[in-house]
Amino acid sequence: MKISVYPEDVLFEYTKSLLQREYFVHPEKKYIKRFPQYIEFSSEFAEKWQNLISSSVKAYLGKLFLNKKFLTEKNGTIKSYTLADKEIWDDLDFTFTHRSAERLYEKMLENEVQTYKIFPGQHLIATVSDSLFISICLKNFEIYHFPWIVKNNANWLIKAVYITKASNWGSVIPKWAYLLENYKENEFPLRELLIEKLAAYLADASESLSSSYENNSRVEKNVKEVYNLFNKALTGWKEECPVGYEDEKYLDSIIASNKIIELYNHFINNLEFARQTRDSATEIFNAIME
Amino acid sequence: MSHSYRISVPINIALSESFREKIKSYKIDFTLLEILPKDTMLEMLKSKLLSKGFKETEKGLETSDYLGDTATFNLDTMQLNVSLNLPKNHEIYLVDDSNSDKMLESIISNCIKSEVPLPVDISRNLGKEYAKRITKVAIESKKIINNALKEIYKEAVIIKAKELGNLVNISESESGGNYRVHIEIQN
Repeated sequence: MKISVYPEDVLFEYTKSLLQREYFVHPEKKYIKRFPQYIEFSSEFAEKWQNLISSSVKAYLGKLFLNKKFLTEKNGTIKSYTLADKEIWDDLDFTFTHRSAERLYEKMLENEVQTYKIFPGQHLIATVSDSLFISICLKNFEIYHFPWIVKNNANWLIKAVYITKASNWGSVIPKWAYLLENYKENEFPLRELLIEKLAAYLADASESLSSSYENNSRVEKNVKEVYNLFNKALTGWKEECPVGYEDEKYLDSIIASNKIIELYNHFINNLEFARQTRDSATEIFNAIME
Repeated sequence: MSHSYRISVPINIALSESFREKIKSYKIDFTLLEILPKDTMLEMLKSKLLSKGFKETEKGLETSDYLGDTATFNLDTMQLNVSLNLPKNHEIYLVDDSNSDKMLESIISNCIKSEVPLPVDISRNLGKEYAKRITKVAIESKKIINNALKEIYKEAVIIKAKELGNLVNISESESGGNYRVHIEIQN
């Protein structure tokens, strides 16, 4: 019996299963092992692919930022928009290419065949818009790093997704701290998101101290470094690269509503409390052992 | 291939008598600020500790953990007594392909046979885990008592302030490990 299997059709079904978070079942899955390493996509596939990207990225962004209000600058003033407002999309550039199909095709082969890559970073080649689609499909937002995202001029909404999805453990320096270091690159909505992220980070940092008698010096160093970066970024946002009239007022109100100063003071108090507890525990331990 | 095994050592052989005495009872003293009359303050502290999981017993207010280790607070002396519930035997885990473990096993076996305590350095090493355990209980109960004291001081200061005039504002703050209650009254 002779059968015809089209790798691009299998890839399409594979990608759909990734987006629907389902286990990939396909009658022709067993032939993937025999697929060529690289394929050229047909124009019909390209059209289908663009439609798939367009609908799935929109759906993903809509769900992730449901009711989220973004403060953005329009004609010198700061206004609040949601993704449902047309104006917000005016300055956003998305360039989706065949690269995402290539990368996901490689991923599909990787799952079925043990492949060896001569250039390990090769699988990352994509536009920033493609990277967003790939990350959504693979449910992994740490494949592409912030320096790469910034260098490739991702629009602020793409960066916003990566900031929102970035892990935020209070005991380490978070990946999004890179954006604080490079504060000039942050559009206004990102400044708000970074402040929200910092609030969650400081709260987690306090939590990570509270039950610990261990030496907290590493956590202390990391949190202080992130907080210093934030303060430098804040000064930069206000003095070097303000956006629109009165953005300073907005920034201060975002900082106040996220209780950044209170959260940082709370962390410092918890740190002191943990230190006292540790000293006290050492004293008791030594008294027993002497 | 290696495997590990355990030796069960009677506790009186595993740990020295003086060490066992120490971990049977570790005491921490607390001071009570008499913002209100002492009896009132003690009553407030007692009900606060009962609400935080302490139970009233003949020895005082007591709390215990799943290992049976207890912390008993005596209101008359303002002293906390932490005591470990020692097992009959101490379990030691050894690895059969390690020379040092083999040597340790032979020392322990000889001590068990002749019913004499283990050498000081070995017993001291084993004692560390009990010292850590008693430290944990002491720190946890100390934390509860300090929190209870903090809460009753705040309540007492408010009661005292109300006696002095109209209470206008109360605020609390914590910095550098110090807790402050700021009260404004109008005469």
